[in-house]
Amino acid sequence: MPEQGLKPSIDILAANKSLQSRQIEERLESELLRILKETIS
Amino acid sequence: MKASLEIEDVGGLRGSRQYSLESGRLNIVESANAAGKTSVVRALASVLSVSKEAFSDDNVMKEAQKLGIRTDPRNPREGFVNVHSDQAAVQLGYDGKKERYAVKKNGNPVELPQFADSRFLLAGMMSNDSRILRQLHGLDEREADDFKWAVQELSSADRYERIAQFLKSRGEDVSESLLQSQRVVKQTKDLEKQKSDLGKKRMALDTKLAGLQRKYGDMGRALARRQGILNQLDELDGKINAQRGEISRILREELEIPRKDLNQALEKKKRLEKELADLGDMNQLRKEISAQQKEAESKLEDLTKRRNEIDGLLNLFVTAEAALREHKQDKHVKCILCEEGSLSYDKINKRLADYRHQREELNADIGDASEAIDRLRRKLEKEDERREDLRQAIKDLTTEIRNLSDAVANPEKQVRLIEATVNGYEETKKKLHGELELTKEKISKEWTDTEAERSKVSENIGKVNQQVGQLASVQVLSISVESSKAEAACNALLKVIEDSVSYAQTKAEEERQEAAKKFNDRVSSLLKSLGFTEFRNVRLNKDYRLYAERFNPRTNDYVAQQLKTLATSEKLVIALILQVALKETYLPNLPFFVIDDVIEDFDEDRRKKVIDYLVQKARDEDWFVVTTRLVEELGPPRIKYM
Repeated sequence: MPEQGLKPSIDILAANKSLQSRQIEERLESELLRILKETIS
Repeated sequence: MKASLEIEDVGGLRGSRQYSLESGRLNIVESANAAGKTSVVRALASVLSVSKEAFSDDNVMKEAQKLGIRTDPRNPREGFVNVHSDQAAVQLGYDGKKERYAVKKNGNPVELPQFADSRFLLAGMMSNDSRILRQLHGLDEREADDFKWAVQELSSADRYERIAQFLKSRGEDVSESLLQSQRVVKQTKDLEKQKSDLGKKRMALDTKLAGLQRKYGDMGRALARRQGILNQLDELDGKINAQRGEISRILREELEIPRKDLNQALEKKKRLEKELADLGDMNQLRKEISAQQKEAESKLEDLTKRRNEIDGLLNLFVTAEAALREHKQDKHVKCILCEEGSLSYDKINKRLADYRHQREELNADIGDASEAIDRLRRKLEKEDERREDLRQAIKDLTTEIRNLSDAVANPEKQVRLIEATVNGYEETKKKLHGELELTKEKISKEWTDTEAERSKVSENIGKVNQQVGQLASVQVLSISVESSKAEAACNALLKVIEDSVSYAQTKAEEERQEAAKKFNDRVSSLLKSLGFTEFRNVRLNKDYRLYAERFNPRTNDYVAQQLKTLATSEKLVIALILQVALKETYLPNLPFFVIDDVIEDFDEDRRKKVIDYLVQKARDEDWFVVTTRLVEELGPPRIKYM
């Protein structure tokens, strides 16, 4: 599992003002799935 | 620097108009009351604020509606788009950029500006409808001194909070999966225990059968054949269980969601088709509305004809009244046309008043008739739009249904193939059971009873295996995870989510504190620049409530002052300071600041100070400061520079 978890992604998403809420949620969801896949592989 | 502003059919302004703005100066939009100056500043604010992401944010859209930048669907006649047009457009060119915003009367965007920033609605524009003044005047749901929004919605804090909320909800889903995986592990353990017990029992029965085979040696060949069949049956049971496990997996992982989506899409399509059918026959509706329209138009024609007649009479009587005005004291005057009969000034004046009154009534009726025609036209347009929307939605759904049908087709085919294979195995089993029956005659009862018991045990082992297969995976988020790994995976993911939620919440608070600090620094420097000495120490406290001290001439000292108890002109002072502070804190690089109407509400001394300050600010920062001024004798808006 990556040491930083989601923190770098959270900062990038919070700083990008052109992203809509739905896009933020989609990206967080895909980050969570990536971490889950890494955990079970 | 210069900026060109081109507006088309915005608010009260029909047609296309062009204005030139200058940075480093105060740009004053002047016009008579209700002649369009507010439409000009709203147009400018729209092209600076209505971005793509703003459209997907309900809070931003509500704010835009309150500021008149977006049409309130409940009252489209008073909207951003001119009442006689279907679309409004604004184009702003400055600093090498060309931004364009176009919107339909129903609020749907046609074109959105690329660099717009929705924070302009809260930070870059001041009017009696902007949030700060609404709040200070007690017209907002927030308390007068509650300014948490100023550090939450405009900074990144809001986005961090939304991220934390989303992750929390996903954390709840993963916790649910964790409980499920714990249940599955326990059930699997119980089943494995059952399997092991049944295995032991079968071994004991095998030993017993071997003993019986030795005891009844003459059963030799029949038993050998029987054993062969039993082995084949065991093998077939194993294969059948494996294939059924695969069917369960396909149903769970590949078919459940697309089938559900497909059913929903089919139901929705049916509903929309019914709605479309319920809208009735298009031509019939057109005929009905067209007949009503014709009737309304004919009424309008009659009314206009009558008004023209009245206008003719009015002209005659106005001329007569003017000619007789110098003889108004005389009871009767010689007729000025035939010079024989006599005229009465009072009677002519009275009839003149009657005709004017009749004309006013006719005008009101004409207005009503025009509105009725307009209403019918809109009704037809609305029907057309709804019908078109429904057709498009049905078309989209048809494509979606086709895609979903394609998505389920393959797995369903696979399931059918596997079912055919299983049926083949079952057939073979049936034949083998038949053969088994034939061998019975040659074998003792003790043997057949033991063997039947063994067969039952084997069957139970098969069932347990099947149950174990069904518990092989657990759904975590949208992924199927092997049961043995699911608990650890859920725990690891929950740890990441909890850390992330806590991180996002901490960052949100840091963002708020940093924004409050910047904001407070700006406010105190603005108080000095504006020279409003009646206030001091205006700042957001740790709860993000606005604190202010006001000079008390009786005690010759400053005391803490509740904002809601300030006089209107003092609220304006505080609002202006806060508005400029927000602009400088959050939009330092956007060179526009808009003030609609409120400058004229300041008392004279303060107004002069405010205007001097704004002129100086525009010059120092090279901003386009745009404001409005009422000039009664003017027609459409024009811009004066200061």
